[in-house]
Amino acid sequence: MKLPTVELGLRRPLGIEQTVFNQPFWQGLSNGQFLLATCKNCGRRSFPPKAVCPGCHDEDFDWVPATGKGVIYSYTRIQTSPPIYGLLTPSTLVVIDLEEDVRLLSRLLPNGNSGAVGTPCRLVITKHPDGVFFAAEVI
Amino acid sequence: MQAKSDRVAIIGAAALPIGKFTSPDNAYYGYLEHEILSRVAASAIQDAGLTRNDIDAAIFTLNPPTTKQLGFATFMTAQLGLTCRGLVTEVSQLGITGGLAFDVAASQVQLGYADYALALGIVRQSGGNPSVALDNGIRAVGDVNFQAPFGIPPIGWYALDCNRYMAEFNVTRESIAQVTVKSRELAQHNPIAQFPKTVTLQEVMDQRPIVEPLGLYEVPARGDGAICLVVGTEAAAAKSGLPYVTVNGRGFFHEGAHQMADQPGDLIAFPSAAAAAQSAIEQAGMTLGDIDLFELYAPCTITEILVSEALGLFPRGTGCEALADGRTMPSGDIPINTSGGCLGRGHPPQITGLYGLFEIREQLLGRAGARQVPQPKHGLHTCELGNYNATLAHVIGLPQ
Repeated sequence: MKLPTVELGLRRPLGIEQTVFNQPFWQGLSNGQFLLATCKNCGRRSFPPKAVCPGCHDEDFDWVPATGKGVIYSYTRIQTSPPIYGLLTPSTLVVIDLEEDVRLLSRLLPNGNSGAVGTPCRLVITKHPDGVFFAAEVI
Repeated sequence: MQAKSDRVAIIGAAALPIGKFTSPDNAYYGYLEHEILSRVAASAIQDAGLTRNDIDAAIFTLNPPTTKQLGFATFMTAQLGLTCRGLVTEVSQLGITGGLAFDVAASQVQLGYADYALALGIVRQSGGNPSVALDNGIRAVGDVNFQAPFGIPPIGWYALDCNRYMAEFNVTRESIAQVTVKSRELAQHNPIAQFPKTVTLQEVMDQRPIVEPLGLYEVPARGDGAICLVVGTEAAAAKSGLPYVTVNGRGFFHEGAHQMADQPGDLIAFPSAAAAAQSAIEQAGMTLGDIDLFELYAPCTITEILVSEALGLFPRGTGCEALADGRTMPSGDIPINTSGGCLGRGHPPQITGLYGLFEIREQLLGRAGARQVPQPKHGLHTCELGNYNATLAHVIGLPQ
């Protein structure tokens, strides 16, 4: 199952440092999937992906697609950002608890729905002139 | 409990009023960091009844990136004419930096590497480019590849805390914003406060939003400051005949998360605050109820409420009620941030911890004027980093 993709005409605010380790995640985004590094030894999922499992220090991971579905744990609207983030200001940021028991920070794309605590949402993939990233929207 | 003879004492101190040193109307306008801090350090050494020859160690807070002079600790040691057998260094880790300088200085004394040590620092960044400071903040409070690209500043995390708290405990922004009203009320009586003017709740609510739900007066302003504490053995302090306070306990805890855990859980419980404070209080041979006042690192309104609840001072969800009832004022049963805290006294981040310790000393020595807590014997200080992911706590007491 592929996540929705949204074209954003803006470059990503900070250059992303893709690494040998996290390459599968970025490759996954390009293919429409949000992949969670899942420890082969203990099954712990982590995001952002960590080179060593924070649970058992194993270094082997499966990259498992998330459904992208989750619930908003909290939110804020940021009114002040440095110029490189300027075009994205103000922006609503949310903490999302995914179905897979992973918590992450995301931007909430405006789609007319409020991002209140407890609101169901889903991850979307954002396409930028310089690559892909991710965001969320209320469903 | 530490034996009395092993204790470290704060023997002298000096602190400048927090403000914008790079504004033409400020008394320190036209001076550089080392010039300002040299005079503050000299005052503190004099306050301790010592001379430069007595100082064996000097622990500086790392300067913000706006400071041109690098190698600051060794440079300053020469400026002050110190010769040290103990450490000369800068220390840094986000919000605990000030407390960390104090902790290392106290350790130098406790380990016997120094008879007397300085914990000191200056923040002079108000004239710098705000975007650079904000960009540094953003890179410090999130994974630079997976979180920072969303542009979340340090105070954005407290805003996330705030909305969660409001939803979970059915508390209004107005109730939380009372922290600013209280902070300003106390700051008017603090001669080193950046914001000595009172504000009404309506004025707080009417400010432009910064990180919603928090507006301009609910988040810390940029402020500069300079401060130096002199520590030594309690035995030496007692011999000096000068008033002093002692470090009775110390605790640190890191919860193992950076800003937030990547697995669902309680983001606003601040377990590091409880753990660090408990260690410090136990080491002091005391219980929470024995503490007479609390200086708690709290950059935003919500932070003061959350950390007060985390420490167990009030049941969760009721911190605002305690505030509204006046319980956290100097006349209340649990005085919190009598200095005016980050929102009244001011918040030069790297040295806020030192200013908090300074306030406890002022209170214990009975020098706090109209904000004085009646005859306090012990104060608890906390400073933190991230979203209270780590806390450094100290119990400071009057000699028994």
